[in-house]
This record gives sequence, C-alpha cells and structure tokens, in this order.
Amino acid sequence: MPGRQPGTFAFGVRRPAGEIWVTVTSVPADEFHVPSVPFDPSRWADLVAAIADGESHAIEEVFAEMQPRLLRFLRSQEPRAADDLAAEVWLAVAGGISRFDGDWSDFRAWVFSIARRRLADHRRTAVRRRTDIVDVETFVHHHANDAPEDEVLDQMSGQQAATLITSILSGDQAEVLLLRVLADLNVDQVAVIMQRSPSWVRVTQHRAVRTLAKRLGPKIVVMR
Amino acid sequence: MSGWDDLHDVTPPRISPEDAERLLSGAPGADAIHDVAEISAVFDALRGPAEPAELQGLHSALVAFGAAVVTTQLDPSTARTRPMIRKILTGKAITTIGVVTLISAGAAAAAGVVPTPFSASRPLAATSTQHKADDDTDETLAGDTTSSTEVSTTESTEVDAAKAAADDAAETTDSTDSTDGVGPDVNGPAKFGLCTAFEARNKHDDTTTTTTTVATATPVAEPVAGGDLPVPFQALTDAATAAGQSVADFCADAVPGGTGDSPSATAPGKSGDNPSATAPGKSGDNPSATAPGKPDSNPSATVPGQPDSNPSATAPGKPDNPGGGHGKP
Repeated sequence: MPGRQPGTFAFGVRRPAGEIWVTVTSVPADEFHVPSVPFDPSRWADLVAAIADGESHAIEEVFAEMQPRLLRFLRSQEPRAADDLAAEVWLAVAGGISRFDGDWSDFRAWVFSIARRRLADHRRTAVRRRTDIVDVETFVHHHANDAPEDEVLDQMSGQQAATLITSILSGDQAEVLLLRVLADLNVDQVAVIMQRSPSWVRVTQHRAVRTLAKRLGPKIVVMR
Repeated sequence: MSGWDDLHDVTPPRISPEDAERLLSGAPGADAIHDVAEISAVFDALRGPAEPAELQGLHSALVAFGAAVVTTQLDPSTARTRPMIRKILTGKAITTIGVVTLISAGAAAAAGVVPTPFSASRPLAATSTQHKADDDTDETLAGDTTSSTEVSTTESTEVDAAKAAADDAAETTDSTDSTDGVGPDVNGPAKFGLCTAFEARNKHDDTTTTTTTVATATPVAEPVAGGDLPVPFQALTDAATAAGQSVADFCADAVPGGTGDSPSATAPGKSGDNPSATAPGKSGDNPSATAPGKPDSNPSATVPGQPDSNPSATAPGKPDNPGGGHGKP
C-alpha cells in the first residue's frame, strides 16, 4: 500500500470494468465531536421526544450513533456525493421526526430507506449528467491494488470494510450485507426497503457471505 | 504432500444459511465458525466505532433539527388559522347569501308576493289595499307600497311578477278581507255604510246566480260564502247575530251619520215618512221594508234577499206595483 497523507486513506480495486478507487478523507480533530452521553437504545422513546423538542443532547446522541452507519453505506455506494446525500437524509429525518412513531430498529430502517431513495435520485441525475468531474489530485496518491483482500483486516476501519464489501460483491449482494450489518436490520426490514421478498434477501445474503468467504479466506499455498 | 486443501479456493466454503445469519446478525460466537473468521473481522470493522470524519456533519444536523422544531412549533398556529380562514369565508358567504335573500324577500314582500302563514291566498299588499277603502291613512300606505314596488322593478328580475301580483291584489280589493283587521264599529256612524255595502255585496252575488228567485227566497241576512266575509262585514254579521237578528233587520234602523236609534235620523238627501225605517238615498213608504237605493212603491215589497211576507213581491229595485208606493216623499 502506498504512502498517503495524514488524515487520508485510499485504496483501489482492479475489476474487469476498470479500476475503482476509493478515497476517505479525514477531518481535523478539532471538528470531531463526541457526545458526552453514550447512546442507549432503551431510552429511545425519551430520545425521540427530546429530539422533537429540539434538545441538542438527544440529537447529538442519535446522530453520533447513526451517522457513521449512514456515511459508510453512502460512501460505499457513492463516495463523492456521500456527504451531501447524508445531509439530505438528515434534513428529511429532521422534517419527519415529529411524525415518526417506532422503535430504534424502525428508526434505522426509516433512515436507510431515505438514504436509498436519495441514492437513487442521485444516480438518475448522474446518468443524465454523463460526466463526473474528478480532481486530478484525487489520484495522486492512489495505486492499483490487485488484491484488496490483502489489506490487513485487523486494522480495517468501518469505511474500509464497507468499501471492501462493495468492491467484492455485486450491487444487490453488497447492499443486502450493508443493510444487514451496518444498519443492523433483519431480513424482513431489508426486504421491505429493497422491495424484494424475504426469501430473495436470504438467498442473496447467503451467496454474498459465501463469496466473501471465498475471496477473504485462506490463500492457496502452492508447495513446491 | 501439502497440508492444505488444494481445492479450498476452488470450492466455495460450506457455509450454511444459519451460519450466514449468525454472521450477519452479529450473534456471539460467530467468529468461531469455520472458514469465516475473515468475514467476521470485516463485519466487526463495519460495526466499528465512529471516526472523526464520520461525525463532521453534526452541526448541520443540529441546524436542520432546530429549523424543523421551529417549523413544527409554527404548524399548530397555522393549523388553527386554516379553520379560522374557512370560518371567515363561510361567514362571508353566509352573510352574502343572507343579504341577497333579505333584499329579495324585502322586494317580494313590498310587492306583495310573499304569502303569509295566516292567509295562503292573500298577498300582503292586498291587506294594505283593503284598508285603503276604510282609512285614508291606509290609502297612503298603499300608495307607498306601490311606489316601493315600482322602485324594486329596477333591481330584480322578480319585479315583473311582483308588480303584477301587486296590481292583481289592488284589483281584488273588494273580494278580499283581512283576518287580523277589526273594521269600523258596526254600532257607530259607520253602520249605515256597512249595511249599504253589505246589501250591495249580497245583491251583486245574488244577481250573478239567481235573478228572479232572490227576492222571494234568498235571505239577505246570510252571506253567500260565510267563510270569505271581509272583516267589516263579518263584524256586521256578528253584531246582527249577537242581537238575535238578521243582518237586514239589524240594518233596518241604520241611518246615515248615526245609529238608527235616533228618531230624527233620515235618509241622506231624502226625507222619510217613517222615522223607523229608511232606505239609503230613497225613502220608503213602508216602514217595515225598504229597498236600498231604489224607491219602492209597493209597501209589501222587500229588498232582495229579505224574507218577504208578500208573495207578490218582485225583483228588487223595480216598482212593479204602481199603486203601492210613491217613490219619493
């Protein structure tokens, strides 16, 4: 893996259709905000009521728990537009939180369903635009990595793991796995979000896990 | 010989659906599943804690939630104003309809086409016109009604019908009555006029039906249609009934300008030989019976409708017996 600038991480995957490069840029530490109160799903009803009242501590608590999942999902799907899409998702959540009625699991399903719709809208717009301008500096420190599974799994970040899954699996398989693991949704919830049957979700996730195991499993050691 | 399975990378790992479900749901011990340790590590990383780069949008989220809270707090007031607007609009609509209805009803009432619940067949203007014959004040009132009708003709399409109804009502003054009127005092100075009008009315009604038999058989005391008597006539009939007399008998002593009780009462412009019985405008020789407005030469002759003791009596107003009367005093 080539050297990279502090605060950035990049790796690429060579696929038959071409090379895919993923760049994750960190922000200065002074902008990092950690909620003082850890997230507690058992207080979900109180949190929702507090959010509806505009209490910032509740918003911070839920945001800190939800935003990493959301960003990892969006960045694995549309890296360049992920932050803007996440902001749109939170705007939609803020607009509808007063009418939301459900538990923590329902909230996650709701947020990710919004994210998928925003992704679909963004992709339709991108298809019409036909161009996606990328700064040259983006590729300066990137290099092709023929074996993304060679990445040290123990040191992999959450975003790296999401990007790895997306780069290895097909679109549907990666999305099913990300929704199951990142959003922590069950089969039925994923089926509803993806507008598929639960059986299709089970079959897809099983194939995805087998594919990951095949790619990330022990290497063949040729003994001479 | 190698200790590795040469077909390990060729044949996909045997991972059951249950194991896949355990991996995806993060069940405890999932990393112990054979050949899925790497996958478990990836999934653990996926569920890892937040990094600084992943929390930089907190400020924007706080702003968005703050704006949403403000909007939500404003919504109830907006929700309250919408029904208020509807109420205002509904009130305006009702007020407009009410004003239009009142104007139309007023014009119709002024024209006399609005039926009253007490008199289904009698327009309002007819009542005013009825009083016109009895009182000069009511005449002025009737004139005002007419002028009001004329003014309203320029304002509404109902005007023509209303005016026609008003004209009809004015024309039917003699045949209509008032249910709530009192009428003149039948025992007062108006008695003579009432009696004269009553007899003339009965005469008119009788002549339209039977001409030859009225004088001999039809009593003048009873109205032809008892239920449609005008108030003055009804009062006259009631007074006669209260006195135990017929109307003709009750009117027998009526003299112009006063009651028949005055011995000096005479017919206007005519002198009467019999102070007890006069005929309006004409004097009768027969004190027991007179024919109104016509000289009666036959002492036995009676007025139309009056019970006649003389079977030779003929039609009223025609002196068929030249030797019976002198016509004028």
